[in-house]
Amino acid sequence: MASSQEKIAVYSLSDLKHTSDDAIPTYLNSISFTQSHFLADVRLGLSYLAFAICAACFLWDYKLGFEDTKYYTAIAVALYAIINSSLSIWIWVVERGIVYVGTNKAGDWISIQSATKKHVPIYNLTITVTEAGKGGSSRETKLSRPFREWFDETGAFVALPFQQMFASNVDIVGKADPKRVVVEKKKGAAAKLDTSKTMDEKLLNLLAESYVDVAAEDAGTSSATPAKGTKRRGKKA
Amino acid sequence: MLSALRNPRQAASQIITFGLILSTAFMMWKGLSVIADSPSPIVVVLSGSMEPAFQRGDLLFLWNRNFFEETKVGEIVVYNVKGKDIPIVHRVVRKFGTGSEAQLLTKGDNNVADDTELYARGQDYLERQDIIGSVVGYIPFVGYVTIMLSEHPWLKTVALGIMGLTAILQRE
Repeated sequence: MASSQEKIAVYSLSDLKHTSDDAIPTYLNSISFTQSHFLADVRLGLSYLAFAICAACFLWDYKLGFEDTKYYTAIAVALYAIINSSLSIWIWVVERGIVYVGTNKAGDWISIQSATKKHVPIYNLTITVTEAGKGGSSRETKLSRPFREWFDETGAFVALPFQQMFASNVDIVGKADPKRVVVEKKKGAAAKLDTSKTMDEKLLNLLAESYVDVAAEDAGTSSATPAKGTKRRGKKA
Repeated sequence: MLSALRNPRQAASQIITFGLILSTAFMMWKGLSVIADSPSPIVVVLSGSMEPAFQRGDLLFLWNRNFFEETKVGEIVVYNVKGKDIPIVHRVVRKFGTGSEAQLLTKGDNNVADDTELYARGQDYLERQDIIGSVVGYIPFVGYVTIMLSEHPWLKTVALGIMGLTAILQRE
């Protein structure tokens, strides 16, 4: 569910991130990408294995007492420690915040990693695309966008600008969903400029933009809501 | 929460997050047990029989291995009496013989008489195997929480319920 009906608290960064993370598979799977659950399955497998060892240890300890089972308990504790450390390594080194891995019908491979910085309402995406038949070379696209582009002020998720972001910036998504590609030369340039700036500059820009928006709305010059997203981006240029 | 029900992997992952918190705590406890060779390496003092050394609610750390020397007179030990499952913290005051067959007598510092009254029917002394550890360290008062929990059992249910709910409902 893209949870377009569910509203979240717009000041909760973790709600913003999780809702956005959940919307990625919903969108990509709907435009004929096939999601690979390998990372999550390994993580779940390790977790449940560790839990099973602990449950077994609890049972034999409960039924037979400590003295008779202490060597098995020692082995179980060692195994549990090993599995739990591999689980941590898997989460920190292998998964690294990857929220989506999938392939399209042509065999192109896409992996999307998301991250936020504490108390900064900006969604940082690293999208890695490996196209089929190019010898395994991959391209990385980094996007940093404020959450307000796809959450309205009441906390409802607005799918269109979110999906347009992927379709316009990642060519294999754009090919699969040409309707949502927003072609705007200036915008592309601005986005590139954005990545070279520091976080402070970006924040200042965002602040400045929001003031301009308010001013424009006060003056009664703003158009209907649907055009809002594109308008804002237009101003950035 | 509702969206988690529609996505089995996400639901499984939220459940196991809670499961791993519980199991890690349990395995750390068991690890400590194995290292100290004691079924219960940390105990809470429940009575004032060892005052002024230990007060009610003190947390004691036990060690149950005799690497260098045997358990000797003057050591504070925790022992279980057959048929009662409440461990008792008292001091060893007499010892006859050596090795695992040695006969030990204990007494609470604050008690008038020695422990022969407390032992099981027909038991006049302790053996090494009755002891689950010697006290090697303590933290005053922090164990009072567990005394509260055992005297008011409904607090346990409430605490466990709150922990479970927050772990399942939160996605941090």
